[in-house]
Amino acid sequence: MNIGTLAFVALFGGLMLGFYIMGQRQEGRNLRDIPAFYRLQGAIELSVEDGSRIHIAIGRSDITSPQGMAAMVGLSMLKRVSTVALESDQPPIASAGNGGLVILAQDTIRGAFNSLNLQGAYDHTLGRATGLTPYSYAAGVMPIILDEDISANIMVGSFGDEAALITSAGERSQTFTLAGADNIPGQAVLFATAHEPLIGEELFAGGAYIGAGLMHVASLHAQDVVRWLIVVILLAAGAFGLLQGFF
Amino acid sequence: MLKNLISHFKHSPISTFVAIASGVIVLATYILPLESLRSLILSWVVIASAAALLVGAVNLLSVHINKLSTTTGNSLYSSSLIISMILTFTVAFLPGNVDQWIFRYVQIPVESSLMAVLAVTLTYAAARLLGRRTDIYSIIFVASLILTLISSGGFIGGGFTWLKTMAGAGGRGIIIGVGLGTVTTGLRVLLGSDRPYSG
Repeated sequence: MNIGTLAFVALFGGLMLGFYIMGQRQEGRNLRDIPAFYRLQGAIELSVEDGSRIHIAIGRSDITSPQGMAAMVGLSMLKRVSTVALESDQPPIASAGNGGLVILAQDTIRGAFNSLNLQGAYDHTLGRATGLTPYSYAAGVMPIILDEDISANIMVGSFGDEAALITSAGERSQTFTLAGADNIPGQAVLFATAHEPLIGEELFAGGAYIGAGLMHVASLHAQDVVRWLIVVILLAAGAFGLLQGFF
Repeated sequence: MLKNLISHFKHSPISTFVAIASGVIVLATYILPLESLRSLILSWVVIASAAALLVGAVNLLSVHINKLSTTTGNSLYSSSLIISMILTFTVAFLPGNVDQWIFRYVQIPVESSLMAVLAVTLTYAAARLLGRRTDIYSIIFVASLILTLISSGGFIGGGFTWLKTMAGAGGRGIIIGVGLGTVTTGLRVLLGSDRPYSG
């Protein structure tokens, strides 16, 4: 890592802390509308009311790779959804295609049970490894959606084109599917097949929209600032190159 | 945030300390000349990942044994999985390349079949997209798909190279967004705000 990268990370960290402190002082969240998350809120409330389950797929990325960060967002959403859904009789089910993610998913669900003093009700099969290769993972998730009274699917993590098999199961069982992936092929497939696809950085905005904490909101604002900074730098570099051609 | 962090430390001090300290140390090794320390920590991670893989396989087995014993869901899938798993595990100890035979003649054909199913699923989904979600993005998506298919068939020649340039530019924009999200998520974990461990 060179000094430039360190400065970039420090800038990001500073912005996040700055927005966090500002967020503590003001009311409201000032986030742009992403209708997918409002529909997700509705789907969660509906599942709590009618006693059905929510399924959260967190993909099959390795947590030590950059793709693991998409799974971290999935785990944040799992934590939040578990806390809400445990008010009903049916806790959520999490599926993962990586051993490390399964352990984290089980730990996250157990934490939600503990926070509500329901330790005795925890079942380790709520966090499942469904397959350890892309297609076996997708094939293993499909019966969960079809057989286990699922009313909403949340797919947040690293998925490839195998994600279409999962969304097709959601389509067949007529359940709501919100999905986002961290790569272009996965996003293209999910755009065509999911009810509510998340494009680009929207994947990482989930925590802010479902009330996972003020830091999630602060990090979204920090992303916006840095994105505009990058846009300005790209435009300036383009203009500079154009001017160099003239002179 | 500081209050949250202190409460996390009170609740589960060891896991919180280990997670944040490991992240900070690995980040520091990219700045300071401590490559050997980074290699050491990453070698621990490789061992832990291998153990986690085993945990994943055991979890898969236990979920399906549980399914069979409670008779919920489709027992045919669960029993097939358990038999296949035991069979594969057993033949791995046999002399010869029986496990390779299973991989070549069972797993690869099955996954190839799933890919074939995927092709049909995607075609069907693309056809239904405009009926389900009629907005400008869906129209652009379907139009781009049709143009790409036509141009890849060689019917038009290089007439649609601009489309590939546009797609590349759009893709880079999405990747920048994902990259920014990845950095903020990593920083949240480092700051102890996101804790995907110990509740």
